[in-house]
Amino acid sequence: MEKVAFKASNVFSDISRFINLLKDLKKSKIQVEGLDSLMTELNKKLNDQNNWKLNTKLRFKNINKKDLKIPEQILQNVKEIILELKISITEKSYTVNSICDSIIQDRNVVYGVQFVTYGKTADDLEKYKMSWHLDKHIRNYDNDDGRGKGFIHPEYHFNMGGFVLTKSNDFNFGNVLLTNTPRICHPPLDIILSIDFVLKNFYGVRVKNLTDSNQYKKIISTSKQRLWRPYFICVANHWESKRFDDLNIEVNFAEKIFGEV
Amino acid sequence: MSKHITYLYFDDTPRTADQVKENLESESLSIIVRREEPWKEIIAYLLDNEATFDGLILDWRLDASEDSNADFSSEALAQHCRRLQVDKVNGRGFNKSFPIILCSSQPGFKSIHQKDTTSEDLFDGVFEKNHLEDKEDFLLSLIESYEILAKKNVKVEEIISLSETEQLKIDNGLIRKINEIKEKQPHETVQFLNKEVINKNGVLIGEDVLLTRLGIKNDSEGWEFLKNELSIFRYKGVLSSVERWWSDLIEEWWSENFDGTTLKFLNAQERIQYLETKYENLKDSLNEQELSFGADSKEFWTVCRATGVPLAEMDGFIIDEHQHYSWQDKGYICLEEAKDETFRGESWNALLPYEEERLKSYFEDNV
Repeated sequence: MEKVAFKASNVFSDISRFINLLKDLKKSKIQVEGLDSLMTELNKKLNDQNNWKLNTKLRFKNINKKDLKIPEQILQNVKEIILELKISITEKSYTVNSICDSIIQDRNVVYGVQFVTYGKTADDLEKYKMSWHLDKHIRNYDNDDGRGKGFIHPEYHFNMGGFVLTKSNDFNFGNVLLTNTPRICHPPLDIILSIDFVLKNFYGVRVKNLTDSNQYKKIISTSKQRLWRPYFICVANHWESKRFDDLNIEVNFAEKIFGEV
Repeated sequence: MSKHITYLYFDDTPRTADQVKENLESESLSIIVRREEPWKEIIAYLLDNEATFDGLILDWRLDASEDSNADFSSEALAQHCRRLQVDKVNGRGFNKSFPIILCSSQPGFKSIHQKDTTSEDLFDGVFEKNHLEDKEDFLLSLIESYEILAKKNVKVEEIISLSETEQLKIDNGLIRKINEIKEKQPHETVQFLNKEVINKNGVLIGEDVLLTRLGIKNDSEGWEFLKNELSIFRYKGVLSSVERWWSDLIEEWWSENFDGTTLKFLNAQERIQYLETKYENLKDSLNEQELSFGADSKEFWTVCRATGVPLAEMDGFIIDEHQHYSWQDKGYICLEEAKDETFRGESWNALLPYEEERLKSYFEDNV
């Protein structure tokens, strides 16, 4: 039997060590809520090492609002900025020579990473809001894909706005016209890479000691190896197929990534 | 030591008790050995003579010898004493709280005692007799601790001996917890500190973990000097008869002294280099910790629970045990112990499920 590249235990063990490293954020006066329940989630016994699902919600606090280039007249109303990160991810293991999309999405499970920033006012209302999310294109699994009203849907794409903002009627949009934004092609993020995304986009130098450390970089690089190596090899294989003869590459993954199918 | 301390020691085998007494007694500590008596008499004796002792030591089985007069268990006696420390029974009670120690020379006593946890919270210490014999410092510090904790409105600062500014630098959960329990009976705070703070790595660390974090071996020539330099970060609060250091204060000191680096993210060699630049006399006198079997990171942070070898968190396998409080560190074992399980059932019982699986795949990869 061919060797399996990543099992649930490898990923869980990495996430647990990653959470442990994040304790260091306290020294930079950065508070992240929800790590304890994520840890509890990891400690549950899994029946199947080849298929695992994780849901988590984290709240990143103590973001320096002056770093975010917000117009002054809005900034003066905002007491505090909070970033809420919600991830729902189901993965399967794969063998070392197979290049495939290991994030599962079907009738039962949906992949999604949401980055919602809230601007809290002095009276503690979460009045200001912005949402970015990374989705996997939802396909119609019974029939042909409807391809989302003709709009391009790269398999993994970043999108600003969306349902998180539009579903609430009382949200004051001000003068910003929120049309549905382009879906930007982006490789998938797991829990570790999503947290990395938040830290590097919202905290900058304050977390540099952590993000520059070998322990941190090692965990990040393992996650990229697991999810980004297949992603980019598939893309490269689209043009250079002869170079990857020894690998077993998932049909159509590249085309899905490009939003062509 | 300012005050002379007396422990009253009940045992049904005076010969072994005298030996304990002989080994324990010093200029600061006296032991009065007494035979057990029936319940009524022993309670009366304790109440009548409260002024003559500061603490109590009980043999686990006062009824073990053939001519024993004990018609009760040591647990029952301890429980009754605790009650009399807070309240009167039949019009009589103690005027002070005092520590109670349980000891025994019976083989396997600790494991039997651990199986019955109903009495766990009654005692300030549970020892086999030969281990009790070198606990003089602990017995003395217990009395001191009880005195501090018996004070009304005692401050956190007096209990853990950290100024208010220093308290801001450690896990706030600990400060809150101490504030919450400090007005309770002294033995509750003493046991809490002993069990959840002093004897668990986390907010406080022992010498082995401190050495690991500095990346140096304890046989290093320069260790004595360095240890002395770091003595300002030693725990000096109640029950400080054992050596512990405030981990957060050491990390902060590191960052302030060594280019804002984070101690945890440096390898042993880098740590030693920094130390040698600050203290010239340490040049070539610090021996670097070595990698244990199968390990590959020298960013040492913890020690193997079973074998004591230094470990980076990356290289250790996480033990499945509940961390009761936020200030406690996870426990790890090294690969060799995970593989051979030499101390399984003694210093650890199980690995976390995903670590168990990870260990399996390690074997598959390295046959």
